[in-house]
Amino acid sequence: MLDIEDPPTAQVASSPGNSDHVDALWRSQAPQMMRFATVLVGPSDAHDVTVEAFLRSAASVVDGRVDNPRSYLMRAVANRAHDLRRGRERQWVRDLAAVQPSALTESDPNLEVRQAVANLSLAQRSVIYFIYWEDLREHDVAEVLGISPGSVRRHLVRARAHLRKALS
Amino acid sequence: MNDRHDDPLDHSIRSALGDFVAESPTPGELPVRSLELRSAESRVRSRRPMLVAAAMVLIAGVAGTVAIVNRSTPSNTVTLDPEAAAEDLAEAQALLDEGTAVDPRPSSEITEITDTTLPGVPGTVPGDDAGLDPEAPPATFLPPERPGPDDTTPITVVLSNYTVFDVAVRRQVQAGGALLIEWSVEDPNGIEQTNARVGGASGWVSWCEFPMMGSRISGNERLGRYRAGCSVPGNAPNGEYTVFFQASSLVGAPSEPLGTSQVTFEVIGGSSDTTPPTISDVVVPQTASIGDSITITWRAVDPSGVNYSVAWFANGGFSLPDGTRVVDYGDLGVTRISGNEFDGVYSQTVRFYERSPLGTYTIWISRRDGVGNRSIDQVAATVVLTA
Repeated sequence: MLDIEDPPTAQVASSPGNSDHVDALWRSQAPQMMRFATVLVGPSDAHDVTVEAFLRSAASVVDGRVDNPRSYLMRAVANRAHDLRRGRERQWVRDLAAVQPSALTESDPNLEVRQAVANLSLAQRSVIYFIYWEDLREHDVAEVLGISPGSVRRHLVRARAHLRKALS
Repeated sequence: MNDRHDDPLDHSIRSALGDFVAESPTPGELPVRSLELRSAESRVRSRRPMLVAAAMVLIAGVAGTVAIVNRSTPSNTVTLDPEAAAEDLAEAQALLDEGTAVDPRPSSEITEITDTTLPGVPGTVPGDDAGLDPEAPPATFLPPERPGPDDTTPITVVLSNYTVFDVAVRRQVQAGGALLIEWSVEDPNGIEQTNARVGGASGWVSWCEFPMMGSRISGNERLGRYRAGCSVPGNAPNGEYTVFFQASSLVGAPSEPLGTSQVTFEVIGGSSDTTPPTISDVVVPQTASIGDSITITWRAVDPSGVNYSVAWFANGGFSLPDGTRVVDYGDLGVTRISGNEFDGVYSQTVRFYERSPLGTYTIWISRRDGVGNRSIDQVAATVVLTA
């Protein structure tokens, strides 16, 4: 499952000295989290998902209880999206499919691809985001998302098959 | 990736992702103090049934008592008079005000409940779902027919959250055997799914699905019995583990906070190694200059073998505002330069960028052993970076 939450021991950062670190963490990670969230849930919900994921995870990261902060935060985004999925998925598909490049041409060759990508599962979208946009290797995607390399490959193969079919 | 660059499909996918990413909102500033607010919120949230009732006492102007029936704790009926209700609300408001000023949500949410036309219309407490806690399920209530100043009819508040009960798990689970969990979930609105997660001393365990989705074995979505299970590896660390239950309601009310429903079990017959590798003998230069490469060495000892160990450097965080690390880890290569996996000395070289901030760098060493015990801790050594 592509899902991770705060560890059982996670608590809200309370020591005042952490504020600067939290702030720095936000500045450094928010753009990436926001991009990932946008690909998962569309532009409308991306901000909320990112902020919520960050607030849930920041304390653990700043306290140094996390091995891989970036992976932890990205997983928090994926997890938050997963939590919200029910009831909102159709809206996300609409949001994503409605995205149009700012320089819109008469015939938009990517329209169908965007719609097809919007129809992928959250896990599949997560994997193709890291493979195609962040250009990570499958092994690294597995590390970031906290799933097995086999699962990454499976999601990738299925996503590609789905997209190829949708575009054929 | 390289083997697929020629496929037109890959180009299309990347273009589509580019379109999405281009729409990504600008992060803006994080209201840091909302962390503190969140802490206040969680304290308020724990007393939420009482606060809902308190709000209703004030709104309805009932001069009597209110009985709260919380589905999670049906036997827990609380009575409250208006004076106590007002105090409760004021206290909760003060808690929320503490944090606060820059939280995106208005801090006057609780008092907004007073704007409602509550008496007489069964339903959701207006303002509530936008209130204290966006995560919490909405409360429904059955108000008295015509509450008036002399009306002492109790108001019944039914929180429509789900209840997890009758959890069945063996108190002791043999390593190498199966962990089987059964639980019941009741929700008057029905649930869409319920799941369980297992955490131990080192965080979530890797040997169960995360989360394990419950399969319904009897009942229905409003009252059902669920089951999930996984194999416990033979070398799982002995000790206490906790199962956390969660569900999502069909009416769209987000599930209760993780950890509200939980049960513990003990793994026996597994690894007696329950601690992460111990770190000692950290050697690192005390000072460095911009552009320098420095090597840090440390000794890591573990009876189950050291699975990995990495040193991280932080100076106001592990990363710079642009998302890059504060130091250049290269390919993050860590080499064992002597000893073996049970007791070895590790070496790692990092380089300070031109842009690495000057000042004191703290060092954190993360490590995991062969049976999954892991931790990251700051070590005493620091490096001061000078121009």
